Amino acid sequence: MNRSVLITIIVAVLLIGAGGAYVLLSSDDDGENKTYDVRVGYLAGDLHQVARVVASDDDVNGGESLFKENGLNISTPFAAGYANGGSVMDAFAADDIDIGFLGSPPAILKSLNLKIDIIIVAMVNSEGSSVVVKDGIDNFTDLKGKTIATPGVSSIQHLFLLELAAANGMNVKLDGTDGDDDTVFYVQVAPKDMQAAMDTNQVQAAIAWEPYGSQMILSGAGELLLWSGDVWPDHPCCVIAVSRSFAETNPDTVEMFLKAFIQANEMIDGAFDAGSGETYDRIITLATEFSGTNETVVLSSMEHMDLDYQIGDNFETYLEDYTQSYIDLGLIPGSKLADRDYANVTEYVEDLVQVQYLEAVD
Amino acid sequence: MPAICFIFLPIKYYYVRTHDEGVAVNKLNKFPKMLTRMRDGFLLNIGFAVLSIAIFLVIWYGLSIFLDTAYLPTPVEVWDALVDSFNTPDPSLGVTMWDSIMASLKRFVIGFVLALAIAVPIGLIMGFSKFAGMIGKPIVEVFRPIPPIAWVPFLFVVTGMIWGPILAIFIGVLFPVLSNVIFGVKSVEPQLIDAARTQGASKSDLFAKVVFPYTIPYMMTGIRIGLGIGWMCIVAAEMIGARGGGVGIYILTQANIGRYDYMFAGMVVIAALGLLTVEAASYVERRVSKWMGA
Repeated sequence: MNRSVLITIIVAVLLIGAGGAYVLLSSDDDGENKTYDVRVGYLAGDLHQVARVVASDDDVNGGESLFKENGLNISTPFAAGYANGGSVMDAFAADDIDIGFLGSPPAILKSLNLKIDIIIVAMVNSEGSSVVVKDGIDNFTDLKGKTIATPGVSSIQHLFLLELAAANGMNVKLDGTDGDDDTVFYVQVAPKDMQAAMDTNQVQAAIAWEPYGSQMILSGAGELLLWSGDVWPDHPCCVIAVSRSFAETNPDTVEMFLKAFIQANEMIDGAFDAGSGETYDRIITLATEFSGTNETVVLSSMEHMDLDYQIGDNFETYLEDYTQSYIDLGLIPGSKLADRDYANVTEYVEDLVQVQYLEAVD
Repeated sequence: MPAICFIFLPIKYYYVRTHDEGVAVNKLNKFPKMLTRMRDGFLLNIGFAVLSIAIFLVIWYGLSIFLDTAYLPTPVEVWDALVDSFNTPDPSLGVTMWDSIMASLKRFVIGFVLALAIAVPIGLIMGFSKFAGMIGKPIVEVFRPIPPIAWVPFLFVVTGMIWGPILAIFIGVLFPVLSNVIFGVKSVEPQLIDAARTQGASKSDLFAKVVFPYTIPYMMTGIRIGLGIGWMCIVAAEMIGARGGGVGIYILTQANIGRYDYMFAGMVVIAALGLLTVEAASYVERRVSKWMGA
C-alpha cells in the first residue's frame, strides 16, 4: 500500500476515534445530569409572560436558571419573540416549537381552524388588558363614532371589545367603512405602536395587553377607561400550550417545565411581597429589558395583572365562551368542531385543557 | 383545456395528414404555415399562458392533497373562498372583497399619481441640467436602494394611517420612474440635439420637442416597473396599519385567524390586480413605442 495512503487512513482513524471519544465523554446522558431539550415560543414584549423570562435567567437564581436547574435545555427558535399568538400557533404547525406562551383566543382560533393539535397545560396570567381613551371619553358609549386600536381580530383584546360593544348596544366596524350612530370603529395596530397612534390622534382609544396599557396611561397618551378584569373577573389571558404529540411522548419534560415555571411565579410573588432586595431588583431589570419599558411602567403593569399558573374552576367556562363567541361571529365555521370529531364546544375545551401535568407537579 | 387544444390540435392535424397517403401536398404544407402564424400570434401566447397556469394549478392541487394541511388549501377551496369573499362580507372585517379592492386601489392611484407628478419633472430637470443632476444624483443614489417597505413603520408614525400606505406606494413608484426618466434624457442622441439647434430651436423648444418625447418610452418602462413594486408596497404598508381596510389587511386578518383559503383568495386578488395594471402599462408602453416610431 502506498505510504501516503496508509498515513491518511491512520490519521482518519485517529480523528474519528478522537471525535467519538469526545462525544462519549461530553455526553450528558449519564443519568444524573441528563438535560431535556425544549423549544419555546413566546410573544415579543408581553409582560404577561414575565415568569418565563425569570425562569430563563441565570442570575436571578444564583447562577443557574430555574429551567436549567430542572434539567431543561431551553432553546428559542425566534428569540425576538413572535408578534402575536397566531404566529406562535404557526410555529407549532411548522414544528418549530414544543411549548408556547400565547393568548387563549388565538390558541382556540387556530387549533380549530387549522387543526393544529395543541393542549393547554397551565394558565400564565388572568386579566391584564385595558381600554385606554383620549381625554373627554368618560364611558364606553362615548366611543360611538370614534376609532379604537386593537392588536387584531384574533386577540383577546378584540374579543373583549366586541363583548363590550354588544353589552352597550353598540356595533363594531372596521375603521374607514360605513357605520351608524351606534358604531365604534376599530383599526388593527400593533400594541407597541398604539401610543404613537394615540399621540397623533389617529385613534381615540386603544385596547392592549400590558405593559402597553400602562405605558399609554403613564405617558399621558390616554386615560384608563377600564381594565378587562372589571368586566370579565379573573378571565384567563395567556396560557402555556404544548404540542400534543410532544406532551404525549415527553410527559416528564412538560412536568419539569411547569415545575420551573411555578417556581418562577413563586419567586416573583416572594420578591414583590418583599418589595426590595436583589431578586426584586433583578426581576424588575428583566421585566424592563424584556418589555422595553421603564420601572414605573413595569410596576404599574404588575399591579394590574394576575400572574397565576393555576387552572381554576372558571377557566374552562371562559374558554368555552371564547370558542362559542368565535363560532357565533363566524370566525370559526361551526363545521370545524365536527371536523375534529367534537360534538360540542364543551367537549372541545375538555380535550384542549389537560390538567394532569400541572396536577403532577403542583 | 383550451390551451391544450391550441397546442395539440395542430400537431394532431399534422400527424393524421402526414400518415394519410391520399393527402394532397398543399394540405400537408398547411401545418407549418398555420404554426408559424400561431407562433407569432396572440392565440399561441394565450395558449401557453393558460397551459402554464393549468400546470401550476395541477401541481398546487397535488401538493395540497399530498401535504394534507389546512395551511395549503386546494385551488378549488381557494376559488370557493374567492367567490364567497366577493359575495359575503367578511365576518372579521365586515366588508366584502370589493370594498377591500376599492380601498387598496384608491391608495394605489393616489400614491402612483403623486409619484408621477414628482418623478417626471424632477427626472427631466436632473437629466437636462448638469447642475441639477449633480445636486440631485447623490440624494437619489442614497435613497434609491432603501426598500420602500423599510419606510413603512416610520411613515405610519409620522404621517398616519391614511397617508402612510399611500406614501409607501409613492416611494415604490418614484425611484424607478425617476431613474428611467433621467436615463431617458441622458440617452437623447447628440445628433438630434445638434440638428434641432442648427434649425434654430430654442432651449425650451429643444426640451419640449426633442428631449421630452424621446424620454417617454423610458418613462413608460419606469412606470411598468414602478407599478409592480407599488403593489408589493401596498400590501406591506396595509399590514402595518391602514384606515378603511384593503387587500393587505384582508390577507393579514385571514392569516391571523387561520382562514388560509380566504388568505390565498386575497393573494390571488393582489396577483390579478398587479398583473392587470402591469399589463395595461405594457400595452400603453407598446402603443407609445409604435407611435414614437420605435
